Amino acid sequence: MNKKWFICISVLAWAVTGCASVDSRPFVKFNSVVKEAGAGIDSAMSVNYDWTRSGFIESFSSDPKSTFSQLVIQVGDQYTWWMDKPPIYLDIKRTQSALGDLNNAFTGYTNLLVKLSDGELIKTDTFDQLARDLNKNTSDAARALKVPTTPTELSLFSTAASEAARLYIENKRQGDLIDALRKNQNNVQKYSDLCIELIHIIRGNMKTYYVEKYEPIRKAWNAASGEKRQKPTEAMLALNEQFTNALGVLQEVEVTYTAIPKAHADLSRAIKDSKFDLEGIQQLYSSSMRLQRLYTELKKANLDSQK
Amino acid sequence: MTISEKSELVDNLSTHYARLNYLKILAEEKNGSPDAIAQIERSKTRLKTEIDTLLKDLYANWMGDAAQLKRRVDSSNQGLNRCIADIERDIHVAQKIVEALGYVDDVINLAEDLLKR
Repeated sequence: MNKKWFICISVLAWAVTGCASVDSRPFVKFNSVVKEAGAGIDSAMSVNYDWTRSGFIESFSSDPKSTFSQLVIQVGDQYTWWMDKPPIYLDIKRTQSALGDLNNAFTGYTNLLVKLSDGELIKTDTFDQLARDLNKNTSDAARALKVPTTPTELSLFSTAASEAARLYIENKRQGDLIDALRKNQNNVQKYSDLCIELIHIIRGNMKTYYVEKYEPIRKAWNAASGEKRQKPTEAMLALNEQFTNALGVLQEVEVTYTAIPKAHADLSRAIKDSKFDLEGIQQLYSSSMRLQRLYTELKKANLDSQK
Repeated sequence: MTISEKSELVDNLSTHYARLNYLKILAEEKNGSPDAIAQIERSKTRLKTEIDTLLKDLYANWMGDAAQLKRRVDSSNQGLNRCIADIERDIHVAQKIVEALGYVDDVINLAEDLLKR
């Protein structure tokens, strides 16, 4: 065999064994955690919206100073409209929409991370086929050029060349991933901080409107007697469950968002060091599964309360 | 005052608001003085107005910050999409090179034929 080819193949074989491909599993888990956290905060936001809206109806209706004109929308040019004193639930609706947009952008980012880390992007099959095609084409070319070669030499060359291409792309992929993780660490931190801020706002909002929600129940309870008090009693217990479930979801989401920036930084460390312990992401993933159960219960209770 | 400080304040005020209402309920249940109950109700109304104003302010600030971050994440996602497209193009280029090598045979045969003429 040509000496140069032998050296080339040996160097490539060494380089290939020294470059492990990226494990996409932690990226998939991280993606799932971000989606669950987003769904959790959104479900709490929905309950917050419903409570604040019904709280507004209750307090506005019972306030003797209320006037009907305060409920009327002022119509402006084209699609514009406003209210002199817009009720707070409208701000919540807009915030929920902004939260949805932000969550979509962020899950877009984590989806892209999964795509970039996924083996599907650089499938082994593609490079095996590349080696086979190259082997055939170099055999033909060598024959045409009348270069004396053996099938083994050509096969080794084809394998090494396709591995070189794979290695080049794999290195590029790892570089891109590390770069993306590094560049977005601040965004992830900001995302986490913003979501925690929103959780605290929702918490304050819900504590206030819990009072607004139970006041009509209390009035109904006071107005009734004997068996007729069962219905408002039931309603109060259901409201309490909803309130404590919502606080539970908010608390769990806060834990998740607090841990997300470190988990994101760990992804980058795991690419550089295959032995890096990803226990943090695993725990976060388990916590997000717990969160999923909590917010599903919350959503169901909220729907039941509207029936 | 930062958003964090304001949201902590809302949390504190809402806790007071809930306790104040509970106090009013107790006062009513124990036949407390109507003046005292009316005083609690007035304090409650004032506190509620403060909380609502603060909440409106917080939601508006939050939406501004969220929109700013969303723009940054969107721009970063565009960059990542370009990286993925580059990798897919590299794979395509490697396949094209191998394909092109297959034509060498034909080109040389053609050259030989031309030389024989």
